[in-house]
Amino acid sequence: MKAKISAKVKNAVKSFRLTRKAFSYPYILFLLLFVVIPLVLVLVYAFLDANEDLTFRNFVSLFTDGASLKVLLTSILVGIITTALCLILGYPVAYILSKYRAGKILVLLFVLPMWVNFLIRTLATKAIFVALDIRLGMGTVLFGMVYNYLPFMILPLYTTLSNLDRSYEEASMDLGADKLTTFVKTVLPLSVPGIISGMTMVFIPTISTFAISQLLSDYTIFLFGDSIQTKFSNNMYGVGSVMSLIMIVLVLLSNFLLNKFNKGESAGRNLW
Amino acid sequence: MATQDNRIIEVRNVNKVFDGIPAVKEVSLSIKRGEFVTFLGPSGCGKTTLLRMIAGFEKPTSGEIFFDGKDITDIPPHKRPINTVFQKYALFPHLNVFNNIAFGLKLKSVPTGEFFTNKKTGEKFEKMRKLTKKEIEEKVNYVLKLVDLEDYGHRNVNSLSGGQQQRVAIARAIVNEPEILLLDEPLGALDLKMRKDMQIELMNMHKKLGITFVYVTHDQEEALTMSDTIVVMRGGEIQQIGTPQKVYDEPANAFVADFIGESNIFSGIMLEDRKVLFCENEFECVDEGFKKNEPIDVIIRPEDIYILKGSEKIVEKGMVKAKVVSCVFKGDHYQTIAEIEGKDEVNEILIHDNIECEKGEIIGLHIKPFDLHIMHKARLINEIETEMWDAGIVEICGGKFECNCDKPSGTKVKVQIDFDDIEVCDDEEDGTIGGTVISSIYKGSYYQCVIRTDDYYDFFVDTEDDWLKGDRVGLNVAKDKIIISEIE
Repeated sequence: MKAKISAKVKNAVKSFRLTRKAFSYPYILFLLLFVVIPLVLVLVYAFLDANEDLTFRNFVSLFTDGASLKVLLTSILVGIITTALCLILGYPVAYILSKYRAGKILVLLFVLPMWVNFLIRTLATKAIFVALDIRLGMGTVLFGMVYNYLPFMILPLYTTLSNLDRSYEEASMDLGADKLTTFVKTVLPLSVPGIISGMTMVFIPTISTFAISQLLSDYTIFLFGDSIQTKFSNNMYGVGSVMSLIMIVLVLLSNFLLNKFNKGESAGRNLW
Repeated sequence: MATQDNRIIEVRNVNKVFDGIPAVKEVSLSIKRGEFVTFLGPSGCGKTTLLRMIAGFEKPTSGEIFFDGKDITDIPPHKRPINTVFQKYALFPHLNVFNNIAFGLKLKSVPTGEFFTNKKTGEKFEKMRKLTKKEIEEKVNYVLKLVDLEDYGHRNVNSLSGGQQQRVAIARAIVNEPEILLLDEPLGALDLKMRKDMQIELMNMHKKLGITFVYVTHDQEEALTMSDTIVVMRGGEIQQIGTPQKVYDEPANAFVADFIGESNIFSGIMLEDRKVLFCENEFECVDEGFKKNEPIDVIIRPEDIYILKGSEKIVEKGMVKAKVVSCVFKGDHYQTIAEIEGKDEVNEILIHDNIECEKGEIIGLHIKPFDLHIMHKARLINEIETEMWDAGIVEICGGKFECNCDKPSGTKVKVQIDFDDIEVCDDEEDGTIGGTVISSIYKGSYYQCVIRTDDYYDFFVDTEDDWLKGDRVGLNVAKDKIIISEIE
């Protein structure tokens, strides 16, 4: 009997080979438990009412509710403005940093705030605004968003720009382009992959984030992420799930659209 | 003789220093209109830096560059009538072939023939305009035809082969009708067969376009094939400027002789005019004007040595006898290595001839007097001006050497060390000072290396071993071999 068991164990050990595949099992398990199952639950809840009966009421009530639609619109608007501001602020920084050898260390300085918990950062920002007697509102929310997500724009831009072969710029100057034309005609188009990555990295978290807008607008501006949180904490699982679904669709859509622009040398190769 | 107007580029006393390291030293040269000039030298000799200064990508640390008599030293690259073909082509990956080539044309302004006058200053200006779409298209199609890529305009540059990308790069440069085309090792990335084809194509293009080509390469064969004039460089300095024939037949020094083609280099002594001693034999030559008993370098091309073989009588007719070490068939000739055995030394000699020899055979060698190229030695002894570190210790290039001199610390002295008194060791740590091997030339029975210390002093060293270029080595000198004299 004993021999039989030990033989079985031996067999099992023999047949279990430590291939590369084996290393992925823990993560696959994690993914199943905490990503796939919750997503399925969200999908299921979206079609259930309070009595757990199948229904489309959640969708109807969301799309007929003006307030919810307004929140969605505001979120997208905030996302677009934040992304644009981050790009305008981040590009020159990344460009200048990529020109210097010390750039790597300076980039670290720009990324450093990311290591502080974002709630603490946001609360601190709020405290500064209050101390300076600045009225909390859309302006302060945008400031908080840009402040939080700027590093996500700078990092991919810096990577792209510093990997750009200098000979392209030289070739352009050689062919008669001055510094500005060289930038517009070679550096800018060649850094499109970085711009796309930066935009995705900023836009998607901005529309889905919560807390920043609540804290920095004194609970006057609600974004989509905030209202999902409210719905769930008020036990409105159905509507909350529908909103989550909309969010997923939005994220996929924006990712798809941004990648559409990303043609050329590094098409299909994202930096993150 | 080149007249003043004939010079399109003139480089005067140009120096370039990168982070304290000199890359180009006191270079002066002029390039004639329509010429095909090649800058030739081993990697790191400053040839690319010189080219980049002509293109305008680097500014000389000192010195001037003239274009057509005008000083262009401070003019940015986009205002120079010069275009470059880059080493790795640098084709814009976001543009197709057509737009790559049209890049320069779209930026160009051409005179219209109409004039207007500035009312305030009274100066006359010619009106400029951009090229029309049709003009651009015509020009691009013309050069595409010229480089044999007629139907490739719409193609993505990354979908092209190396040779095709090369052609696009050339087309992109010549479509702007520059007065000078700079080519920075343009064939380096191509395989041998392709390289040969492109060499001929470039030469044809040069003839057809009639513009000046300045070409950079480390490939001596390429330089000899294509150029009107070769500029041989080493360590940031020009070694020789001349036609390919002249550089090959009459190399200015041992480095040029060694770098271009194969050659035998021997140390010898000029006994008197037209008489030279080397390999323990006296030879007749055609050189005059050397000092009596002056140490010199003798250079003989392997194909200039004739083998006499057969009966003893025939062998005796040769100027010198040698024993064959090896003989290899090379397609159009036999490459024979033979040893000339003297009383004190054995010298190896390389011969290219049509005669096959057996190993161990004794042959006679004949060399025509005008095929012996006699050159002044670059240096007879290593000489450094330095200070005593302490009594009995002298400082040389940052290292402390024991010596037989009791002058107190701080005394200014001149140190002399013979070439063969310097000991080279593999491990930099084992030497009193360290250095990098710059060159190594075989001289029949020993190697003459140039080793550059971290203070940029070049030591000439005679060694038994061939040291690899670029290697770090250590240097030692025995106490008795350091000759010291005080500087008054």
